[in-house]
Amino acid sequence: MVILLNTLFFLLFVIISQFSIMGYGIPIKKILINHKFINHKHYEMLFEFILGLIFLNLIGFILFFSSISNPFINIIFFFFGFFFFYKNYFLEKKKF
Amino acid sequence: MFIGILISKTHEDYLAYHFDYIDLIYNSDFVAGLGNLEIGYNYTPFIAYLQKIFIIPHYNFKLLHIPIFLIFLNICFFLISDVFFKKNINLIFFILLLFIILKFTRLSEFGYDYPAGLLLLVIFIIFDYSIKNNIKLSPILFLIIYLYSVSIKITSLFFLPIIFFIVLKSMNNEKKMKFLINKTTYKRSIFFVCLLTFFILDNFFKSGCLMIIFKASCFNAEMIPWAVDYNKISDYGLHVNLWAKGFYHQNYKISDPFIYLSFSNWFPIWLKEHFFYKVFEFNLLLIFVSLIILILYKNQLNFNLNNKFNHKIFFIFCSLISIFIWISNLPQLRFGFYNIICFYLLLIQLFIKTEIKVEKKKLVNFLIIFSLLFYFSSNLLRIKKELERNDRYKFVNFPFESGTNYAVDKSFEERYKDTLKFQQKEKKIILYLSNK
Repeated sequence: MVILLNTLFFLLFVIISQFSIMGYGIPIKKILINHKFINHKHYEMLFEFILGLIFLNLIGFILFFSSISNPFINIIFFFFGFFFFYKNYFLEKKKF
Repeated sequence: MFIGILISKTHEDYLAYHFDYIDLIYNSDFVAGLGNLEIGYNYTPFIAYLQKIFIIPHYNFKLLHIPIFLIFLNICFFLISDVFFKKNINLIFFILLLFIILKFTRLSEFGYDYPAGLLLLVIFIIFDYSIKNNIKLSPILFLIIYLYSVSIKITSLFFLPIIFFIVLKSMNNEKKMKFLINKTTYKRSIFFVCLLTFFILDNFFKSGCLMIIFKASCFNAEMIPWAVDYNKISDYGLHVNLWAKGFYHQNYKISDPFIYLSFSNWFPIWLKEHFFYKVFEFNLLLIFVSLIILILYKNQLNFNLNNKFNHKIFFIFCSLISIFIWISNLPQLRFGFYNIICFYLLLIQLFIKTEIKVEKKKLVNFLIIFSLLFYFSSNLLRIKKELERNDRYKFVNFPFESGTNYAVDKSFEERYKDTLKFQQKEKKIILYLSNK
């Protein structure tokens, strides 16, 4: 039972991490790419992921540099990223 | 594909020093000169700071492999979406998709070489897609991803000729002069400059070098108290060079390492010990996958028969230089697999028009599902074997890797209190490790 719950949590966290990283990538993408990806959604998502990954990596370095090592702060970062993603993908869609 | 991340055994270097490094930076305040503690720490990837964010309450170090797995997953997701949902199939992407899924089944073998290589392939994919779909992208974007790959693995520098071509070509799109004096360019450069600055700072605080592979960029211990003795870095570099060229696999027939490093000595041994063992097999799979796809779609193929000297030939030339740089420096497959893939795909593109229209996608779907099933079953078999083994890599923490058992829950200061030194300047305290 514990193994099953752990596996489910692991899967869930992989999914949350993916969306969270993409969430950070969205604003960076808007700065770096001046193109509307109408028929290239998967292409846009690849950018969002890669740029989000780099951005979160920079945050990680700043945290080390500022001697901040707190797992609860890490969780907050994931929630923030997920919120950005949710805001852009779900709330934006609802507008139309 | 989630099954791929359920690993017990990691690659050898991970427990040797990569994991230690993440453990250290997590359990300590900022410390300069970590490279003095263990020479391998000077080469730890920048992505370690991202992995550190994946340490969350209760699960601690158990989720560190997620970012590396996600890099692989996102490439697969992009390629699957492109091949699966579009009417026109890009054969290059189709070949790449099947090849990646069939070849990179084991996350435990990835280390940090493969994620860096996969990011370089992302550059190739993005560029190819932008050319075919007439999407104008800023060269800075390619430079950012490239710099990030270099920050993960310095061997990404072998990709330099290819990135040079890509940047030049994307600058053409923007008109060179307009690109250089553009306001937007400066705005976009901020992200690149941030990444570059942090990468240099990371190197500097670890080793006292701005870029560890360039001796000229290193400070000595009199100027920077935590600077690593460069002789140690040179010795380590020599060891890696000898290892990559098969020095330790030739039963010391040539005992002098410097004599061994002459091309005529190492090349035949490398050819026998590494090329026919790993590189050839890699090429064979690449050729096999592409032959299957090209044969299946032979009726739809159009050949590029009138190839005048165009940008494609120059691109191939650049990838050939990349391969040459790789072979002459560190000719291990994991340091240059992306160069081989780029060269091979470009060669196909030179002779064949790779965009084809497929009416019925049953065959495409079948091949993708088959490759995914192969990925799933080979990982299932691996997990079974990992559950049965009896060494330190036995799957005792399922679904998490076993290496996490070796984490030391002690602060850095507690572990290294005898070797730490303090430098006090204007009330600011920098904690550092000296090489003495």
